[in-house]
Amino acid sequence: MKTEKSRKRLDIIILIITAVLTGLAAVQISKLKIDSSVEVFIPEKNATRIINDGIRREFGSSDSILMGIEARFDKITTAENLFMIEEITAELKSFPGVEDVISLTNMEYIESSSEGMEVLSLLEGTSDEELSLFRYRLNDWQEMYYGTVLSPDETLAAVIVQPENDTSEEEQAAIYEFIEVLAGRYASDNLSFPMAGKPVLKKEISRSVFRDVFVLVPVAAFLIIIVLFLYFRKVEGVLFPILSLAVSCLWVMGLMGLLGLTFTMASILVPVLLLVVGSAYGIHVMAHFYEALTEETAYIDFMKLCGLLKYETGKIITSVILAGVTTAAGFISQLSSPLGPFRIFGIMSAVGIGFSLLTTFFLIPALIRLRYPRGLDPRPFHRIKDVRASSEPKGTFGIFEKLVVRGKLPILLIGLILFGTTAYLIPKITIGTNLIEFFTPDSKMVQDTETFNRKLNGTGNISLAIRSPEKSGVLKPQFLKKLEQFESWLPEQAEQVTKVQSIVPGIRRMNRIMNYDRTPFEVMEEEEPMLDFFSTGGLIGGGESTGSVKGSQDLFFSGFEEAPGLTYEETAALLKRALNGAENNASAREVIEAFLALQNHEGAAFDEIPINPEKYGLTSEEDLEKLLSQYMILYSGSMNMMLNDSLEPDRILITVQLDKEASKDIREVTEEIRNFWDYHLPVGWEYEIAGNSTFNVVLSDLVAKSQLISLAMALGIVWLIMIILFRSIKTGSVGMIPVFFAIAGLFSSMVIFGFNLDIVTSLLAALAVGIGVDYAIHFMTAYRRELAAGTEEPLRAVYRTTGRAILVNASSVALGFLGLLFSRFIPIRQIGILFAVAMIFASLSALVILPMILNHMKEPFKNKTTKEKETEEWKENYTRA
Amino acid sequence: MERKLYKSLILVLGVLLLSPLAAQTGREIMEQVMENQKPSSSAMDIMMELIDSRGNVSSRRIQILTMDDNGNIKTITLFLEPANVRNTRFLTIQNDGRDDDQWIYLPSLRKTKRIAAGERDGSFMGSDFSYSDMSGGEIEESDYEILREESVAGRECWVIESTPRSSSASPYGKTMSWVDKATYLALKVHFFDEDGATLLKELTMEGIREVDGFWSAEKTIMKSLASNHRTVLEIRQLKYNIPVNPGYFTTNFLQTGRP
Repeated sequence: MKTEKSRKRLDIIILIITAVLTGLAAVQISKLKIDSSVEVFIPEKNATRIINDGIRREFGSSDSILMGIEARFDKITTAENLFMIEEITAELKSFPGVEDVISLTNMEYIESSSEGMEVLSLLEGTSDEELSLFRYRLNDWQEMYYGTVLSPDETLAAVIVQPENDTSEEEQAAIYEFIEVLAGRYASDNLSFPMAGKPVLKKEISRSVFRDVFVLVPVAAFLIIIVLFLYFRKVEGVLFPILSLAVSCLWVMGLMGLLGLTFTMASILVPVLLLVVGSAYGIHVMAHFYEALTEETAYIDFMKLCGLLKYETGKIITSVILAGVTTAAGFISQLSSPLGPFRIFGIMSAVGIGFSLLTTFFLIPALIRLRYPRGLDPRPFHRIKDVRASSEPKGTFGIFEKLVVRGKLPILLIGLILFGTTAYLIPKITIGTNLIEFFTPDSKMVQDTETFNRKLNGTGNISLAIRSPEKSGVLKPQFLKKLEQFESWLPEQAEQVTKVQSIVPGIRRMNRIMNYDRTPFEVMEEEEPMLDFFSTGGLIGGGESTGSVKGSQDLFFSGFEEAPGLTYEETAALLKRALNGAENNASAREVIEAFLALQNHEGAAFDEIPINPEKYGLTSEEDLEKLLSQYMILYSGSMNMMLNDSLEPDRILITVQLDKEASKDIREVTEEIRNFWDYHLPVGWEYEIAGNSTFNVVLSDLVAKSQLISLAMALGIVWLIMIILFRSIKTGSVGMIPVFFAIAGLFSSMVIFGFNLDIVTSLLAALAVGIGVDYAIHFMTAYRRELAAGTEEPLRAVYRTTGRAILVNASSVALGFLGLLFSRFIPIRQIGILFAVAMIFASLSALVILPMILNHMKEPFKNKTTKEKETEEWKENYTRA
Repeated sequence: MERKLYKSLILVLGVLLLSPLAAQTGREIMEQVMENQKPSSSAMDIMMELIDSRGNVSSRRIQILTMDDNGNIKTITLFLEPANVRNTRFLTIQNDGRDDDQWIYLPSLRKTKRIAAGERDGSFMGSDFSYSDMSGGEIEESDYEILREESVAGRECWVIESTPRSSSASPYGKTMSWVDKATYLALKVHFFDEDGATLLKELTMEGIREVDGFWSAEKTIMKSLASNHRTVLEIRQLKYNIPVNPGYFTTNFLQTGRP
């Protein structure tokens, strides 16, 4: 046995080691970084991620930031507002890391004339004349501008900021911060600046994670302090457990910093969970210590205090460690998750539980011993007993006892109803992760996204990449015709699709411009042989000039004739033809277009994907394909975002824009996309689907998978522990009953409250298993102890001590988790509620249903474990001493 | 659009690579260097290979004919490959004090169209060269500083940093050029982002030779670092100061293929 001096020295060493480790941890914590990307959740080998990365590489796309400028009282197209947009565009364009900025003030407009084409600015200035020209151009090429950079009601304009392809998260964040500065500069009662896009979402998540760490941890700590104080009514009863919790939290966060791990939406929960769950261990130690003091009357000297502490901790160490192990098992089961951050969360929380157990059994007793270096008088502690006796929930346990003895039928019924309801409700759980929905409906993030979804083409997108087996395949007129059909078909099939973006409008526009003055079906002369300046007999150094520059220009430009004027009858007849030829629900605009096409007014007859070679004086589809390649020369450079080669592309990128992004919406749309292209693509052609919105589906699938695996694993591990603990499959299995109640309560509540099973809430079930089983362990070990000791009314005895501890523990854990309601993330708030529900179910079923079943068993508990025997032997020695 | 195409190749071959330089004695020498690179006429046969990060190659072949008409450069560009764009022809006539005139002939339409487009910073035919790379810049638009001397492929070079005086003068924050002391050709050029720190593109020249009294490179390679995409520009044939029929530089030639 240790001497008093060595004991005290040891305690000081424990304290010093704790302080040093905590100091080191605090240094490491400063290294912790927040990772707010969604990609972090998606395994690198995930098929959609690979496709998406491939598309990004090939088409050089990166996530753009959408800066909206919304006018409340006037239109955004006033001279003053346009001038402001121009300034914003220019400032953003010169900001580091910005590849390009697209807005109303720098977009181009292609005008056609009999001479050729002219590339002009959509907006040339803000004089009245220039503004009316601007309006004409907007209307002339509506599909180019409306929905992309201008809302149809002209109250919202978008400035699309494209970061460079290799920009880091920090650079993207810097760009977003600069946009916020600009917005702040111009904001007024009239003007607001909604923002959207992935970099915005990331930054907002990052900010919220950061804030959550600083809010949730203190809130949880505060709630636990309240519980501790209500229970112990002594400063040290609050201070010692909270100190031990704080130390273990700091250690685990320091370890994360040391290992270079990042804070994600999952790992943000680690310190909070540790505080809440770990508080139980400290409560048990302090409760048993105070309980023991109430039995003592004489002064307790230091050595006796040491013995008392050893005895009391020895009594509960098995069940507390087992509770810790099962809780850790719940965390460890996350290792089976396909989601990287879950695995980190699981392992770190499990390590944290280990730290928490260490501090509970080393630090707390050391602190108590250091607090009473000369021993203590136990009499003042009897007050605690009196206080507790007066507040003892006799009524509650009275009801429990009645239920256990006489309530078999109602309890059985309630159980059956609960499990029946759960079985019915589980398939109704919505699995889906939509990061936008992580924010509250009144948050700026959600409001802004809704603004874009309502007024523009929406913030969601799906990328569709199609590959042809041969070069220039994707410029085949037959394919482009299908693509054009797809662009009008898809929004009709799926209302969440607002627009399909591809090269089709650009090709139609160029076709119209280049055929401005062509008569359809005009016969052309034969194509000349290939020219080559350097070939034998080539043109280099050829003889005399055959014509002056001026002469030939004149010759060329005098080649056109004015179209003859039409009479009223002819005009009317054409109008009627256009009207009758149009579809039933055609708009006035479409009828007028058809009318103009009949006379090829400004190339209107050629506002199409060329499909009929004869109309173009050509003979084959190959000729049309060549024509389209030649158009591409004119677009050189500006189609790179949609074609993998500017002249002979074999891969094309099509972007489907959406105003709804729930997993269900994305699934529907991708299904329709597949239906269309499975039917229409020839053999040898391939397509791939990816894009930001598709990650919602990927996450949903991973979450569902992760949920099943981790839940099964947690149940398996915990069940095994229970069997080993009680050395009986039957008793061990009975101990699992509170766990099933917790899970049933959890899943039913999810459906009843309408919570999604998402990347955050899916963490819950396995944890609920690990934490919920603790009540069963505490109850059953205490019950076994009382039965073995031959106590007269074992149940009542258990209720009086462990039963109360279980209730206090469950309410403190439930209360602690309710602290999560202060999170900025909706799923984390939901976790708070669901955990509280699960803990209530687990504790109540442990207190009522377990004894009911145990009483029915012949011999629920086998002989004592060696450890218990040792403890009892030690107790006898200690009493004798 | 194929704006400033005439500049494109002349410049890729000579002027571009010389323009942002400062020789030993400063700007006057630079101007002299640029002057020395202006032939009265030229003809080139060029093979361009676009190679992406996965090694996929896409080829273009063009021929360019230029002539100096009293200081105004006229350029005719002929597309030979890929087959789909064969016989597409492009004419640019430089004008004093106003935008260049440009026409394109599309063989599939058998039509010549006039094209009017402002300055564009897009890619030239999908290559790693942008139109502004091709058009170089005016000597007075930048400041020049000799940083050090270094050898490139065994040739003694000045390393010269050029910083544009205004952001409108160049899309780059700065360029660094390794100028061969013997030939006054830039054997290597680094193009930096607007912040002046991030390297965007690297240009290197191979196979320096003298043709008709002018120094040029057989191969010019431009590499974009972010996308790991590169363009290899190979001059297959090159002639300077040849007698050229002015009839080539007409819309009549564009339309008929005959000067």
